[in-house]
Amino acid sequence: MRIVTLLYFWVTLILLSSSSPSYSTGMTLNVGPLSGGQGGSNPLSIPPLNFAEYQFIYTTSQNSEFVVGVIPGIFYGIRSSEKSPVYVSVGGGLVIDLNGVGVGIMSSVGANLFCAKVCFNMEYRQALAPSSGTLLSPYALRIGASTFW
Amino acid sequence: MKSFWRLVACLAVAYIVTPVQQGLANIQLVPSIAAVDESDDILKPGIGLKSYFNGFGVNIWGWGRDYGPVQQRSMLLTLGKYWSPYSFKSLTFGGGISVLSETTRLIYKDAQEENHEDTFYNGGGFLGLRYSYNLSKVVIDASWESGVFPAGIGGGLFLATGRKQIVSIGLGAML
Repeated sequence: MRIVTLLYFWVTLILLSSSSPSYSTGMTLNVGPLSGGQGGSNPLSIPPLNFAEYQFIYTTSQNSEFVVGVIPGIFYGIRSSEKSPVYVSVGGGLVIDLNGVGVGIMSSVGANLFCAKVCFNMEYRQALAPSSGTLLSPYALRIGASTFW
Repeated sequence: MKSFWRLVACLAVAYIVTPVQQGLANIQLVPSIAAVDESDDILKPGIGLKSYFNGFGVNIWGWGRDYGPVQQRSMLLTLGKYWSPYSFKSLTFGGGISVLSETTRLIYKDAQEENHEDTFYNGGGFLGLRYSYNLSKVVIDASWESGVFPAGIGGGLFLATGRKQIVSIGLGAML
């Protein structure tokens, strides 16, 4: 429990001390292992040459985002508009899972940190779609880079 | 006995229709039923108690299953801050930490083997999305919460994770 508490304070300290990105048009490319209904995610590929682990996000100055990735899928979302390194988003689109494909909802939480021309990005994104008596619920935790202009 | 239940029903109705005042720090208690996914797209039934006060939430969940001599019991505790980043205030996000306890028991009734029990704990983050509707003092609530846990120190460095996802609906009260 002490480690969890220390980790929590450490992350909070980084978020508070980080410079905020200017919320305008931008894009993010991030990479991370997938979980698509086969259990939790495996470690990231080394070297990260698996195309399926990549995700591309285009954000607009109106706080909209367009997300393209193999898992959890392809989405349109609305981001929080707070001037903070941390963002959340909610939206919908095509949910892609190893057990099927469906139309559903998406939510995410992420952070753009240490911003100069490029920010370090870390994001957790999950989706949910009904499919033949169950719920497809893929997710991915990814890291990458964002840039805004 | 009938008059007792009649009295209880009258008190409940009186409580519900009384206008909401600044009571005990705006505490909401919401017993809920849940569908739990352990990253395998298989839904398991669960129950939980969600509590919210002054923008913070403490939720506890329990679920399990039995198959043959194997008995699994899991509990998830999430603690976090809830806020509404959109103009649609009924929709709130929650973020914070989560603690997971998983117990597996092998209980042999007829065989000669000894019974066995293992309990594991894990700590991680949590993301919650909550929709709530207040009808006087009654709270109607639906939520989608996920506890995400690093798969050990080495696995966590390479972003390997395990996740418990809980989709729930509940009916509660504002105290």
